[in-house]
Amino acid sequence: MHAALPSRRTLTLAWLTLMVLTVGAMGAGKVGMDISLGPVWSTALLLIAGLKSGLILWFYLNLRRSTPGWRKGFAAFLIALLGFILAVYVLTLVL
Amino acid sequence: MPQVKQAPGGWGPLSTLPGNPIMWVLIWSELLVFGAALGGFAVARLLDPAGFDASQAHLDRFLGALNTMVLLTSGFLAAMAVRARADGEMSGSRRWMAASMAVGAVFLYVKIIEYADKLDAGLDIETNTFFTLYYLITGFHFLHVILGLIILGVVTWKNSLENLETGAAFWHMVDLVWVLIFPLIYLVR
Repeated sequence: MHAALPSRRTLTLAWLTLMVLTVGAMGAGKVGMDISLGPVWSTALLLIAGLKSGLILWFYLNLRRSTPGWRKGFAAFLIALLGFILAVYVLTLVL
Repeated sequence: MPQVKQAPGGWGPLSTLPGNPIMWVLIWSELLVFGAALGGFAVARLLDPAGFDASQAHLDRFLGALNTMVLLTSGFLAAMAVRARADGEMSGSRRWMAASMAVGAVFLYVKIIEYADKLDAGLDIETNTFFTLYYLITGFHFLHVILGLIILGVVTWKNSLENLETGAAFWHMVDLVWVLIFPLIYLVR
């Protein structure tokens, strides 16, 4: 057994969570409707994307066994990217 | 002269990441490139929100969501292949990875259906800025999926634990990028 890797149960739970979050994104993104989402649902979508990315990094890419520096680096990348996209989206509503 | 403490393997901090450190250099490069592309997409939308929203309405959001689930499932199967190999299950690992590749190929099939549908409707890369960026970003990702499937094929053949971890790491990066592409291009409006 390779102790550093997540167990099969953990991987399965991570996958189930990712599926539930994707269904959540479909709901927040009002997939079946051609209507504007507004800032609340758009923010929810980006938060869900951030959560899903975090799960992939943490369990599939196994960053939980890496150093705090790497974990902070990847988290900073995601926060900077999604924060920038959200800021531009809000700017679109204001302008 | 004082001795500099270095992690085993000579790769410094990269040694603490799973798989071959060179793959992580590639993963970071890819994330930065896709990150810049998605940031560019957001800024382009700022310049023409109505045009982008009208163009986005032509995308099939259900297929985009389906492909998200397909790619996440493929990533899960790849992670299970690495886990099985770590547990010493050589043939089991190969079966998980073969399943991962088969599901990954479904992503390509669905994307080809999407591209064909758009092209039939006369929506090509020159239609407008939205579709230029749509084809460039998703097309670049599509090429990464093909490359990822080739890498998974190679590591299934030469399936040492390090090789599998390295191949799976690339595949998870392809997953991660799609998880960011899907809401921004298909949903946010």
